[in-house]
Amino acid sequence: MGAELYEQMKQSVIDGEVELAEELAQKGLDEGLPAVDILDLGYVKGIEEVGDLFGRGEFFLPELVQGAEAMKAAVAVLQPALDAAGAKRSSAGIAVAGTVAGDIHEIGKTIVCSMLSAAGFTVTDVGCDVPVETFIAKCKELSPDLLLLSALLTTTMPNQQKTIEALKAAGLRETTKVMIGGAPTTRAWADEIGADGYAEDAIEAVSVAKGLVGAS
Amino acid sequence: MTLAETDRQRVHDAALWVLEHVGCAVLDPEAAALLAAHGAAVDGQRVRFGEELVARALQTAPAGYTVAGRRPELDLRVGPGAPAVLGAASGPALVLDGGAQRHGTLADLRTAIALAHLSPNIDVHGFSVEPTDVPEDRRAAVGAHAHLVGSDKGFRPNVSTLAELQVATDVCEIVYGAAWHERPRLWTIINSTSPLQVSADAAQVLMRLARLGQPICFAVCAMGGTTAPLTPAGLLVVQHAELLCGLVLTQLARPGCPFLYGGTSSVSSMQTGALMMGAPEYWALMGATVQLGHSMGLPVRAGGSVTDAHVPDAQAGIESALGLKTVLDLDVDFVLHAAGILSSFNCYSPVKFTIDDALIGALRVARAGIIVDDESLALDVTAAVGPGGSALGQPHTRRHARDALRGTLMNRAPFQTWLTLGGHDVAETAAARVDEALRAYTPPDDLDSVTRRQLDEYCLG
Repeated sequence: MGAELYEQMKQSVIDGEVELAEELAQKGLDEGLPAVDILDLGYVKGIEEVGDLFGRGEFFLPELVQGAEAMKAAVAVLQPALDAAGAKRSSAGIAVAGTVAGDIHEIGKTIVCSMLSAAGFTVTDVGCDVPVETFIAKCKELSPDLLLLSALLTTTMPNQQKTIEALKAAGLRETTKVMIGGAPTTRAWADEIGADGYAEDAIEAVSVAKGLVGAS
Repeated sequence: MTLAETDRQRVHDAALWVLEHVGCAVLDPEAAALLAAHGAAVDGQRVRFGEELVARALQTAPAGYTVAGRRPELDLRVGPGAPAVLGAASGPALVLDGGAQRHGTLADLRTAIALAHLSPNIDVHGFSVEPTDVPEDRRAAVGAHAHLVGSDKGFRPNVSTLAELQVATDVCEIVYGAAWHERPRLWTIINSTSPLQVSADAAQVLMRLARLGQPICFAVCAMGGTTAPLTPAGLLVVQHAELLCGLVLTQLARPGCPFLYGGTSSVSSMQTGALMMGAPEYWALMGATVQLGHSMGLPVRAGGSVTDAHVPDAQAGIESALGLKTVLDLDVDFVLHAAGILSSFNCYSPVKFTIDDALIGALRVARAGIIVDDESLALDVTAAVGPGGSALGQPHTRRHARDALRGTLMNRAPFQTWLTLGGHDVAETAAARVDEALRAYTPPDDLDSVTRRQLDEYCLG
């Protein structure tokens, strides 16, 4: 019985069916399946397949993003049970991502978040126009492996640097790798402001992120 | 025409529906309050309004306007009957240096200013590359100084923040006097943030410029598949709705203020998310943008010599030429990025500028058409040459021999000759031209000494 349900869960992520993914998660819990198994044998298999299909060029961005959304919706249903079981979700790494203060350009950062989720990262998207203090507070709360800072304007790029400096001042720099991105940014800018990683697009961002956290 | 008349109307009606039912987020409270005071329904930052506000705005927005130049002969007309005003590349942070991209410097900006100044085709320029070696809080002033000292052509300052706007208006006062704003004077671009958002800074800058009677070029760059529907019709609806929102805000801030309807939206790659400025859909979208703006009696900014290529190669040439030709053929009123832009708006290249400059010259010749009069019909020549003769010996041929000295950047030599001369492709030839042009460049000296000193003190002091 479980095997068939796990297969449906996997397929709901591949198909990007958010509501179905939620329903199946609830059904699994109702039938007494362990939350950790539901996650690992159902949804994680689905998102891995989505990632593979994207990597092979068979899936395009909408399929990847919608797969990640379905996965996220299912995890939200499972979370109380996962917490109750004291289960720590296996994750490629914990990431916090946002667009820096003064900048309301979101789409690139959102795509990176979806890609990282699909690659197995646990991602918290703190949105756009994010003050330095919010980034620091989130880092204190979540102790992420990675902090990703997006800027789409030459006038807001300096806020990437300010966030990194604030991270140092808060004593979090040693434990948090920082990646930056956005159209006007470059590898040279990343080096200049002491970021650990830079990627030109969301696809490269995943491999850089994996490299920084030591995931395969 | 890209859109059939019924389809154009349908896109327009759909945008009105979006404005009324979905609304736009106007993130500045003063702007939202202004819209509310005139009947818009405001719910937090979300502003919704019906056709009436749009119709009223269209009654007061002019079909054309003249932007005052530094001297009367440098005035530029925008609107029906006037040739398209052409602007150089605008705003990228990166420059192509050899085969590599790097952040732009003040020296790069000065090169761009010199090339724009020397161009017979470019009317307006401004921050063709960002001088990122100048501290961010000094960049607007130092950049303005470089433009105003380096060229007398139309200058487009950055006005993405209120601090930048202050610099722009201050330097106008220094150069043109306290009454500078009695005429349209400033070339600016104010961007919406798709989908359906006007940032607080953009709204404030728009209202302040409008109150000074300065033309508002409101520019939308929605990205199909990411910040708007992927299908071009739906993408156009989002672009059009945002533009109508900008139009209404402008006309409420100051009825009769010039408004330039501007769009550079295109579709995104669904494999990488990247905006595609060289895609054929872009050319069609730009054609439709010109149609939509003109159908409402507004001047239009659209298109450009834009490309997704990273170097000035064949892809860059094809995409730039077709993108530019599309809008020029539809009598667009203003084209930004008419020369020098690469990498989907992200990178400036002096070599690309030089090639695009030649492209514009060639398109102008082609668009001028064929003059038909006694001199050009030259029946006496044909009669004198007769069957089997040669026109080369005719005085008429000698008289017109230099008419066609155009596009000299392009190779016209036979293969062996071309090879003997070094076998250069057009990018290599253009690179050599850049060096020649910079050696020949001298800045204008039309600013009087008092103005120049004030400008030096304000911008560099």
